[in-house]
Amino acid sequence: MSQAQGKISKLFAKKHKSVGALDSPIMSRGPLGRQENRPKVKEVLVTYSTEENLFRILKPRLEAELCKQSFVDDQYKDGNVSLLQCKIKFEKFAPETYEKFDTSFFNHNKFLFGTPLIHLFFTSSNEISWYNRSTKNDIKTWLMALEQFGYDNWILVHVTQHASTLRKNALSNINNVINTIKEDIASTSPSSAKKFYQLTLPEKGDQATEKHYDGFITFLFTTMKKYFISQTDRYETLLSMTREDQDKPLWNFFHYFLMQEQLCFAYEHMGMYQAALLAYDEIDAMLHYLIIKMSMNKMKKSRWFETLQHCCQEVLLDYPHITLSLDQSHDPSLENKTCSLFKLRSVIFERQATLLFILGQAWDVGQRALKLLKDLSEESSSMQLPIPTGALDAWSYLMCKNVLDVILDQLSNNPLNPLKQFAIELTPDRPGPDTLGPSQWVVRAQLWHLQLNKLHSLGQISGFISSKVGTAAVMDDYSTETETLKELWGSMSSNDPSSSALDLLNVLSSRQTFNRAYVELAEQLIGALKHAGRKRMAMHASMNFAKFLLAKKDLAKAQDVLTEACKLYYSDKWPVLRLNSLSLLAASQDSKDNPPHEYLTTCLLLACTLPILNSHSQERFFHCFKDRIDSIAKESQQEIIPIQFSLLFTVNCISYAKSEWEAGDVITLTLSLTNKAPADILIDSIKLAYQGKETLLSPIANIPGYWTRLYSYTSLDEIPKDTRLGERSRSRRKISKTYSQDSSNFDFYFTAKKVTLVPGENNLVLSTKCRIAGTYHPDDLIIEFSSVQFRHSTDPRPSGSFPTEEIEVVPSEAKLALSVDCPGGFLLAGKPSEVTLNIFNEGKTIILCGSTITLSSSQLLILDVLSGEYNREGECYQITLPDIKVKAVYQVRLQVRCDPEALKPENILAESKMHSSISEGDNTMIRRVPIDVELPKDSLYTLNSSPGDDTSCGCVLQLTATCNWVNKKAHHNYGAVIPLAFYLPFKCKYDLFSSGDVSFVKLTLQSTTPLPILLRDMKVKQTSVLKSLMTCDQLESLLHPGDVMTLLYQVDKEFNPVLSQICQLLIQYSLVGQEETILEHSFRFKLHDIQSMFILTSQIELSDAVLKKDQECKLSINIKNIRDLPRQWQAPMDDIVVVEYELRCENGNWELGEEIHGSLRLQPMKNASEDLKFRIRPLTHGQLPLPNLFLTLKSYTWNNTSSYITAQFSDTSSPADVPYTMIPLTSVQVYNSTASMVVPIHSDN
Amino acid sequence: MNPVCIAIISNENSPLLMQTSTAYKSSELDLMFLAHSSLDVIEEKLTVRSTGVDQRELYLGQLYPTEQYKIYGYVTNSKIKILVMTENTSQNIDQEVKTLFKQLHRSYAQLMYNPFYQPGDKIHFPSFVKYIEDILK
Repeated sequence: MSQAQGKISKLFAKKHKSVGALDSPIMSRGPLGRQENRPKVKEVLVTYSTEENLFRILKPRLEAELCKQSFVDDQYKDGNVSLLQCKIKFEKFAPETYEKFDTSFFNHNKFLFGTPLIHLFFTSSNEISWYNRSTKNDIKTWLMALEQFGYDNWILVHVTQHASTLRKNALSNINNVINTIKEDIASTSPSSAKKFYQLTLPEKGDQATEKHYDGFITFLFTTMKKYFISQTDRYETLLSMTREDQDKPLWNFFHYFLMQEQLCFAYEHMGMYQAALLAYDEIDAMLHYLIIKMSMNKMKKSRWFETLQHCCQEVLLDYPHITLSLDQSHDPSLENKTCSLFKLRSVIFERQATLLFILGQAWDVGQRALKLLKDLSEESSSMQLPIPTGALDAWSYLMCKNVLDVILDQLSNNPLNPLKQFAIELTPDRPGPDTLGPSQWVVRAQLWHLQLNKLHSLGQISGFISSKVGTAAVMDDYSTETETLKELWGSMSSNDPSSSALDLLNVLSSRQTFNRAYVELAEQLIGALKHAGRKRMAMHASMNFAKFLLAKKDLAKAQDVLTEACKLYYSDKWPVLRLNSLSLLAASQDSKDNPPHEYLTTCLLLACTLPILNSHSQERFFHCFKDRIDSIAKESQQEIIPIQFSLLFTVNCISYAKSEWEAGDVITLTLSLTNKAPADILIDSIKLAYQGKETLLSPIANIPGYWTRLYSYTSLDEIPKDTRLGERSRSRRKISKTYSQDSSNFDFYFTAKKVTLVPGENNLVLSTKCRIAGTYHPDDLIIEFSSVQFRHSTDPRPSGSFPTEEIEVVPSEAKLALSVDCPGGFLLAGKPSEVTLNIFNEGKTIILCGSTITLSSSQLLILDVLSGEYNREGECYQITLPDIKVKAVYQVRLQVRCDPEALKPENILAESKMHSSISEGDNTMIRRVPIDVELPKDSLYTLNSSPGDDTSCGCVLQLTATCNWVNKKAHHNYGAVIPLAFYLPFKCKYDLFSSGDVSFVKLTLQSTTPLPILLRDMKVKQTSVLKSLMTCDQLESLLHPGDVMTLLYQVDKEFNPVLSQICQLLIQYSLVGQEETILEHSFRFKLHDIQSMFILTSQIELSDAVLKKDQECKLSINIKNIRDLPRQWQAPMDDIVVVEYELRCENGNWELGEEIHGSLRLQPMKNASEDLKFRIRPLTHGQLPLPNLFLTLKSYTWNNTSSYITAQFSDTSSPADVPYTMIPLTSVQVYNSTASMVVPIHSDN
Repeated sequence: MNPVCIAIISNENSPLLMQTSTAYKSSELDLMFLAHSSLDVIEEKLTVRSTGVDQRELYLGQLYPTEQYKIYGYVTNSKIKILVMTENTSQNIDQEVKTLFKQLHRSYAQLMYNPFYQPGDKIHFPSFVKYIEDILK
């Protein structure tokens, strides 16, 4: 608590102590007890003139009965005239004590109740003689006195004993007296006769006399009332005359007020509360009228007006506090005519409020309070009252609070509320506290609304709320505004404050208390308005409340309020108000703690859907949207935020290039889309999804097997000859349900990526394939960019209807498919395998019972039909089909086998040489090249192939199908070529190399199948030539896919070097998992020229110690026979073997001399040798290999007919004519013993 | 009488036209909120009137006062609401407001004769807008 606050609180405490404990607001002004909240008992004078003894008998009952009387006065609505609040005071008639009635008489305090209300004369004369002698004169004197003072409110009563107590002749005497009295008073004035009443004293148990007495009382009261009314009329006339003098300089409103109030008090005493209220209302209206008129200088300002102007320095001295007292005493300032405007207003309002509570119109007090505050505001501003800043706001705040407290207290069941009890006595059927209707809620809400407005103003003065709406409170320290507050509090503390004033002081003591009070009051207001059924007013209050919440950063609460506001303004179609609430909502949602989609949605609403905003503002909000989604995309790559589609896009229409499409065709459409954003949008993807009307999924999806892997779906009439199977397979799209990210199902969709949508209408041309016949309709449109997704199907309020134009996809031709049933899903060459031929009727074709399909295989493919009805004609099978309905599949089981003949070399269309890495040899690898269809470069067919290795491992044979069914539109026969790929189990090759006079053969196997192979047995035929150097060929071994196995054999030395030998490697194997089936594979290879015949030995002859670069030297090469040379190499005449030689230097390191080739004559026997010398010169330095010597010899024709022998012994032919061929000797036949030798060459230096 | 704002509101409670005097342009949004809020009172009055005796009375009187303005309402037989907002003074301008409402009603009825005006649409016709602006001057 601040120092100032503490000081003020002490002051308040002191004041409170002086006035004592306060129980309730209405008791706070003083020790108002039960009696004070009733009209103070007024004495009503009634004079009498009679014998004392007689009056003593009459008085008690008259006093009691007169106060009970009540009559409804027609002059005032609901105005009961009674003497309930009065005490009847009987005085002996003494005319000299009464003042004479005069219109100039201003002692209004005594005017209404200071004079006797009625004058009574009682007589009990029952003898005419007595009357004439005494009573007659008394009456005459009494009447003359009344006439003298102008009173005509009298009654002459003759009192008679009950008949039972009278003597027999007494009654006639009494009648004589009465008649005489009547005649006497009638002689003065004819109307006076009506003022005579004969009263018979009632006797107990006699109903007639009791009734007679009641009639007398009524007569008496009526006469009193009549007089009272006539008196008030006369008083009102006096008031009217006074009012008319208001323009006169000496006229004083305070005086008039006090006069009028006397009338009000008189009405109150007579129970005429409605009349009293009306009188106060007149004063109220007159005061306002005069103040406004004088302020506007339409009337000369009186002294009382200036008094009002100057007596308001301490406005809060006169702060409103309704005491609800019927105490008729006045404040001294009012009596002295130095009252302030606020004081005067308070007094009038208090009187009005009290009367309203008595009349059971508690909620009207609230309405009048609002009117008072409005009038007071107008009056104070027009009078230009020098009141402190915020004083009027505080005054109004306290007034509202006080009024509401009092109303609620009056309506509560608080038993200590005496005025309420008094009011209940008067009007027992008044509404209780539980009967709060909508109108009462409205009043309550209006008071709270005004109170909240005033609190807002006070908050602005105190610095708790910025005067700029919607921004945070700028003042952190309210002490900066304490000058104003001090002034305000100074007024309050100098007063005798109530708990309301203390409350206000407490509210303004700190920001926290202010915020708490503001929130509480705002919530009460909103609740009350909703309770009263005024939802729009409640929303208006909510909007102001939301601004306050935004300023104090209570964003969550502000969002709730603003969201509700947006909904209401949207449903009521008030776009400007919705825009206002949306912009505030965006401000409240612009927080990282808030789910981003809410802020994004609001931004889009502002940017795109409300055309009221100018383009600059729209772009600003759209940039806010883009900035946020970009930041989200950077922060979280995975997060996709769904946003309402219609916020940003509208789908106008979809138009198709044509109305009907065939399954598999490329469907093209144009999508017309409106971009509502004020700027271009680069979208990542757009998907237009379609859904079929019925389930049209093909049953082929359920077929087990490997048709998908084989890509064997072949349309019967649409395969162009130049189409590669592999390409078709790659272009084929799997037709099945496509699952998007959010698991929605579509049959197919059109899509485009990276498209820029300009503001306004955009036309996108999209295309895709649909492979399943059916009727499809557009189902969804999904647009994604950055981190947001717009999806039409999830749009709660789609703008416009989604296009419903359907696509008709008609069936395509029937299709055939081969599915391989073997484990591993591949066909092995040489092994019989079962496959299934699937015939699928797509719907375009009609396949009736009895239709046939004819299958023929290529030459090397052995085909058997295992199921169904068929006829065989040669190599062709004609299968009779049943009726195959649309979307039905018929299956025929077949057995296929690749003929082993296909593996024969003559059936191989192409060969390629494989080069040995060790030495050259005639090693040929069998390469299978597709016969009918080229093998696709697909991974399935190039298992275990290293990059750049184009060796294949299988062959493709063909199965030809011819069908005789018809198209629905035209009669056609169809045919198809179905390729069948067979794998070889191994890739085999052999290498040949030699060492001296020994030669070797190396065989290499590599597994090519997808499954492991169990090798059972491996044997080489012609074992006499080849001798195995390894023992593993006899053992079972497992060869995994891609594994390589090598076998090494030595060639028999005695093998004739001229002959060739075909060898065959026989391999018995089985696939893992099918060990019971033993398969056989053979690899044939041809051995020839495998024996070494010559041995070369090279040597450099040096002149110096070292050989230098560019230094010429001699190369000496010795050629020696390793074995006896065959006969056919010897010349026919001299048995000499002629060898052509040539020295080559392929690496260019040596410059060769002129004589580098020539002929050499060798003896055919073993170990014969010849030397050759060459001049060479090294062209570089370093370790250089020597040049190679290549030999070619003549081989003469050598056959059984022995043409050579014939030629040898024939006289007609010369040996030179014997035909021969030049045979280049291989590196195996000529063994170079110095092949690996290098010569050191020094540089010139 | 110094009218500050005139609003014509459709039978579905959406604004068809709302014009504010030049001096109060800065308070246009506040006035719009008030106009919208007064629909609550109009609905209340219409509900009471539907059970009341005189259903032919189109003038609804003062709807509710604020500190600054007085709001008067008028509803046609086709449930088109007309609102007139004035400054909150003590002057009794009931008769003047009533007369103004009748003029506005007549002008709106003439607007309905315009074949280019679709009932329920916002009113953009320059002649009618100028007519309202002249009243507000």
